[in-house]
Amino acid sequence: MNRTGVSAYANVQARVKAMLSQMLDRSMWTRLSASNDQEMLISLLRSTAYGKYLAGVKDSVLTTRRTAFEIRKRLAEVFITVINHSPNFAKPLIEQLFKIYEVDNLKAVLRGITAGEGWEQTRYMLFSMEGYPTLPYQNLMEAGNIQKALDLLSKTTYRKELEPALSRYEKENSLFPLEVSLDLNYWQDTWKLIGDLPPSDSAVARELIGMIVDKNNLMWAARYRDFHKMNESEIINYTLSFGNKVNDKVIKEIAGGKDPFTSVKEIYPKVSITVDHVPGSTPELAILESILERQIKAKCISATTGNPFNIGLLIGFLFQLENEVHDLVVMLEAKSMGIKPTFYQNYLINQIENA
Amino acid sequence: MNWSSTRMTEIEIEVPTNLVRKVTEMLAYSGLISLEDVSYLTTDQQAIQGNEWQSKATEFNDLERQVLTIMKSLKIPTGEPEDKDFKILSESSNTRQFADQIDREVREVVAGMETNRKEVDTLRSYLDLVTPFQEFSIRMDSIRNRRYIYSILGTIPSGKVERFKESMENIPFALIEYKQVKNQSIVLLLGTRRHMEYLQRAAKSAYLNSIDLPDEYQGTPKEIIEQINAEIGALNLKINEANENVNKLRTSQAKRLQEIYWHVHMSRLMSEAITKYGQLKNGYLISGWVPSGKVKSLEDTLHSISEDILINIKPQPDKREVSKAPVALDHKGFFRGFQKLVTTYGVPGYEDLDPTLLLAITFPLIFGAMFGDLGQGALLALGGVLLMSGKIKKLNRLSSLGTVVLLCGFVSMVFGVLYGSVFGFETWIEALWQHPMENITNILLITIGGGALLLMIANVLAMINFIRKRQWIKLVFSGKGLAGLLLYWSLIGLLLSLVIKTFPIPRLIFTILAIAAAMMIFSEELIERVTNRKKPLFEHGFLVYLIQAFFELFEAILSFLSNTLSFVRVGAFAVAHMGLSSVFFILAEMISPSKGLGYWVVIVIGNIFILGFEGMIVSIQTLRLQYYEFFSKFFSGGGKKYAPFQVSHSVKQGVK
Repeated sequence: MNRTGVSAYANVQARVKAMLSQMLDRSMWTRLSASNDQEMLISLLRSTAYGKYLAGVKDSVLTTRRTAFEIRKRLAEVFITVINHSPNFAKPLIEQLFKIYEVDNLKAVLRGITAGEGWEQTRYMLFSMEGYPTLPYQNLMEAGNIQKALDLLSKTTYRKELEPALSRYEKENSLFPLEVSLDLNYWQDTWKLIGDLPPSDSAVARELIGMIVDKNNLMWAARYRDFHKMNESEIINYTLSFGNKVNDKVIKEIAGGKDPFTSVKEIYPKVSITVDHVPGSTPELAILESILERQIKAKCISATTGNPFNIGLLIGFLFQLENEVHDLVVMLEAKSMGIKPTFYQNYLINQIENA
Repeated sequence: MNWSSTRMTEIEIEVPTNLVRKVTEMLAYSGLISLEDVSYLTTDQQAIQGNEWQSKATEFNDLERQVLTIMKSLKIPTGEPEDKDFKILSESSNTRQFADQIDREVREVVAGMETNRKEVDTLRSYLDLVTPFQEFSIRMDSIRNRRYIYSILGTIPSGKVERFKESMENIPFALIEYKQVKNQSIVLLLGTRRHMEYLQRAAKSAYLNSIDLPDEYQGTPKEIIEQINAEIGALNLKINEANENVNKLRTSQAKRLQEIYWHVHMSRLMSEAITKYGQLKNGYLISGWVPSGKVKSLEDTLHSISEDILINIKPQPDKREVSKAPVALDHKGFFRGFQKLVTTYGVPGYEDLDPTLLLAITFPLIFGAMFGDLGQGALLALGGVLLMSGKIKKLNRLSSLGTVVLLCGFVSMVFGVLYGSVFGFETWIEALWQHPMENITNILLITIGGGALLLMIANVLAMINFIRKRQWIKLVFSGKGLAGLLLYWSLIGLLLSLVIKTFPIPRLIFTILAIAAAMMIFSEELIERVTNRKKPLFEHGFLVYLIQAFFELFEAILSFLSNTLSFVRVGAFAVAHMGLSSVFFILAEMISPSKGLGYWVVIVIGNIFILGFEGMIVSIQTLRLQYYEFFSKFFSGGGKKYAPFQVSHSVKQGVK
């Protein structure tokens, strides 16, 4: 069997194309944006591909959190489908991309333990990974403390990865070192897997995933500087040494005080940084993140409309679907709080024409 | 021959307060009386007296647990009590003082050992930190607390080293990487004191874990390692010393502790017994059951203590009281194993027949019929003898079942001769009766016939039980009584008259008998209500009564049929036994057609398999037939087991 090309991707690309057609179109976004409240938004979603995930749940329990939990199941189902039908050489990377949710779940569980929450309070905050072997989240929560929870992970790679961070957690009584360790290890492993792909695929993957790494590095650098008041050395140690266009020079500049928006403009000269900035509303970093997400989205669209017989189609589609779910969750939360589109549109990745 | 449980007599003993200890001790060592709890026979005033013994019992309980804990920590076994009559401890304070003192000593030693062990663990963790550096001749104190240079010695994930170096470009520093151990690099970070905070923060962000040794450890890593090892050695010496102290305590105090344990244990048991006594104005009331044959000797013994002890012997229990009487089965020797099989099913009622002897006949008979083989039976019998001898320590618990195995083996040998089978070979001896495989129908019919006979015997036993319990209505009208027996006979007679054309008794007679018996069963409840003058006659209405009675009759007939047919398995297993043997012969011939070594190896393995596997299945089937088909006809169980109050292992339970 050919390692690359048509024969490797024929099966999965047909499925992905079909699933692409099920994504929400512009008119649906407009209608969703125009809905008066959360209930109306949910009833609109019932007529979309998300409907089947909401069908099994009683209306009375469809809180914002629960609704978000249910619609994320679509992402899980799609990921598993793509994993199962990907060519063997691509499967490890796609699985690794799915594993970001496992890492996020683990972080949520650790936060839940620290906050003394019970399983029932935490379960619907997690990303549903039904149908995929994952961590025993409930057991971790019920362990009652971080040390015991991590002992339950002794047979996973997480335990070894978190070992150096554990002594810091014990001294500082803060989850920060554990969470950063999880993130850094995750992205290092992901980057290594790109190297195992055939050259044509690895180039595309490096570009797409590299943009996400760039986004993370920029956001982390800005956040560590502004909120955690970290110095340059700390920021360097807490960011990644690889990516697409963001390198240590850029990070050092931000650490040294440079406006991250300026850095973004230099990296993406064509990007428009004009923002409908309503004073006192949308924090700047959130706007920055949305801008970067939109750049990634544009690249993903280009990947899904280009050569369908490489990994770019898969990654591009999956990231687009993530963006779609992200925007739906933002809208859900906004509608539940009665926030007008003007105030939340900057958080959205898909820019919507309001009705 | 013993067909009933031991006759029991209920007695009441009035004991003056000053004699209660002596009497209780005597009762405890006689092991005759099964005590009844009559502590409710107490006034408020006397309750205080009772509470005194309750407190004593609690006190002895606490003391017993304390002594047991001490013995466990000193690894002293409880052993066996001395062969003497223990008295209730009159004053426990001395004993308690001794126990407290030993307890204190033991706790001190154990606590000391624990502390030392923890210290050793801490020192070992320091060793783990320093050992990677043992090759280096840097003094650790020279690294710490320098005036201008700030240093951190520690480990960092190897994958983070380069990134860390890149992050430190703004300040002067040196990072010396010594070596890698698994995924960690041992490094020494050096910088200026001016940049101490920056260095600390940078190191932290790179997950550089520094070695934190207490300041007392000075010198090169090698010297520190020696120092720590010396400390560990000294602590280990202390731990060994403590162990020796524990051993000395164990040796010196073992005997005394064991004595105290048993004394306190017996005192507790006796105190707890006293809490069951009723309270009188100037004494206690003891109530219980004694084997009727032992009442006189108990009376004499009590009077020998004091004439002030009053004994009231109650007449034999009437219908209402009989359920309270405990049941003592005391079969010896050969029948002890079968008694165990009976009590596994249940304890028979006081007035019920004791089926042990019958079981001793029927069980081996059924087993032998299913497992008939001279050679295999002999091996089984040998196994029974081994079990009985108690030579295999691990199987001592089952030694009483040795007689069961022995008898089953013996009867299997008899049937082996009848079937002409020796280790599966059917040509070595002539069958005295017939080979099961040669006439399967015959065997099956005979076993069904045997089963029917057994069921009739069970019916008769049920009737005897009804007579003993004076349940006349049930005796005559119940499905397990005369009516049931008549119905069964008439159904068998009908069947035989249908099958055998020249059957001497006309079918009509059986038909009439069957109808009459069915009507008797049908009207059992009604007659009972009439004779006991219960109203209304039909508790839930006539229609409900009709339906209920019909289904009970139907169930009775169905159970006759199913129980009878169930015995076909005896014949089936007899045939299967031969069949299984023939399978092994086929296999053996396949392996060695010339009947060489391979042939005999397979035969031996086959016999072992049959003995083990089929032996187990046949035992289970036999037990099932006994319990379900046989016992259920007449044995309702529900009896209260005779458990006399006794405290010493050396006292023999003399019942008859």
